[in-house]
Amino acid sequence: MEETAGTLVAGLFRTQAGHLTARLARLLGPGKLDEAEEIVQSALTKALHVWPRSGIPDNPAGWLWRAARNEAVDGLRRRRFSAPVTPADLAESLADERAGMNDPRFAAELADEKLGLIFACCHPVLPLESRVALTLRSVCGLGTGQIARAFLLPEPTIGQRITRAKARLVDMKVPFAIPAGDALPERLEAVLGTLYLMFNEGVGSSDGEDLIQGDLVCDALHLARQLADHPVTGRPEAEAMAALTCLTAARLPARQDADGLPVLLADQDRSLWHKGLIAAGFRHLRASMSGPAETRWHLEAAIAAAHAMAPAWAATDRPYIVQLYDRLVHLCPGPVTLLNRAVAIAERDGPAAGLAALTPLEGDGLIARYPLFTVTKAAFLERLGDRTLAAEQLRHALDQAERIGMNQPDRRMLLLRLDRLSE
Amino acid sequence: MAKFVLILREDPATFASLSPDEMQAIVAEYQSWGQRLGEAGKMAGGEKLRDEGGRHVTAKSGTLLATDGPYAEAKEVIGGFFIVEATDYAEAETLVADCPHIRYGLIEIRQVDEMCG
Repeated sequence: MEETAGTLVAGLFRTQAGHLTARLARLLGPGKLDEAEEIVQSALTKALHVWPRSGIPDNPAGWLWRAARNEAVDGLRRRRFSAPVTPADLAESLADERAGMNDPRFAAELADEKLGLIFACCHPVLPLESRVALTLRSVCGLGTGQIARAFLLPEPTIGQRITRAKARLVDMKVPFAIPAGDALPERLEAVLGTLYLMFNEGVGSSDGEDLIQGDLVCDALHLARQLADHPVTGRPEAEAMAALTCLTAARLPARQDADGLPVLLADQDRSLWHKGLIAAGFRHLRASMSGPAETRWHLEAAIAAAHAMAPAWAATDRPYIVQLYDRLVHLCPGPVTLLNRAVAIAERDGPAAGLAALTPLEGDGLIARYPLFTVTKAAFLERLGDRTLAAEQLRHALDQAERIGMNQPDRRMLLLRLDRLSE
Repeated sequence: MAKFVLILREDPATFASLSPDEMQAIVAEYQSWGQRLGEAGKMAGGEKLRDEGGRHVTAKSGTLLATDGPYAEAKEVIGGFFIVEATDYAEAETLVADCPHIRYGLIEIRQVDEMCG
């Protein structure tokens, strides 16, 4: 107790849990994700028991690795599980004093293992929502409770999803490795789709108390950049995803006002945008143009870049953004893309044109039930001067929010706008 | 000042369900609790006991009998102890009031009988 206690870097347990799970999964072989996680959990529990009384060790990460090594070797000796490695191999691979230090070779090994684990967790044999849950649990070290809160689902539902997904990985003998050759593009697409969903939920929660969920944003951003920076996975589409996440996340410091209310892009204080992330985003964007393909990630990144480049809202290149949306609609014609395109058209040609661009969506049962659609319509009507109809739409959007869900800051904003219209 | 032993009783399964973030938060909380007590000159020692249980020894039946004892599967084990300085039980209770352990287990406070020392 007397010794000067070390301090803990924020997120250290979570980061090391991810690293250790990735390495153990590779060492223990396909189907052993449960065993890997169990070992990591006991190593963390050991720290929880020991550190409060002994003080925090000088190299906390190295300590966790030693604890995991002892646990793993012990498990193998007692045949609690089998593995294609001997206890001695296991001990050697996990005995790493470099954990937590800035050793580039160690970091490179870990990056390989971590990406291998992501490719398994995002395997196309798993449903998309299970991929997200499993990635957050195994790669990012989030607890089932945290994932359940992030997606506003009961904890047992998330737990079940993860258990089933792991069982499926065992059945399909999915290896924990970066896929090679022809298999890579399709598998990479599955990973990118997963990260996109994770990132979007982080940037704008579909429900709950918070507008932004920092954990999800940081994790998705970090993983996207790791994919982009890796020599095998760093294909143009991975670079595009990294650009999209960097350029979008860069705006988040300006996304909420002092009261926590959402601030629209048009009203954001651009001096608050994160310059480092914007620079990184443009580097990834340039790298994404090394191939002939134009994916949806390229187009979405280009739209984010067009906003990032504009010194002010009024100086935004609106015709170019509409063009990008036209190409995006051609590539993946979904109602959400059409809704965003209508917003871009309204910026270029005025609210009447925006309203007209929404009309084909009225018949789409799914999107027309979404509050975002109704709120957008209300904004166009308000700009056209029709306050009564706009207010009616906002009330309608509030009803929809009750049924479908909406985060509290967005809901408060809706109420404020409704108040202003009724004055 | 009298010495009090804080015996930390816990269910080994309690911590198994926590997420890495939650565990780190508890470690940090524990650390600052220990530091506060140390700075106030109230902390006199403490040890963690090994998890794998220990041995129970008795000669009550006339012969020496040693058995393995409490396993990690037990509902409650003693995970460790602290020794603190306090004037009385009331103060000792105040000292543990913000110890994170009480949210996950139970702390038994016993005064050291220094008459014998």
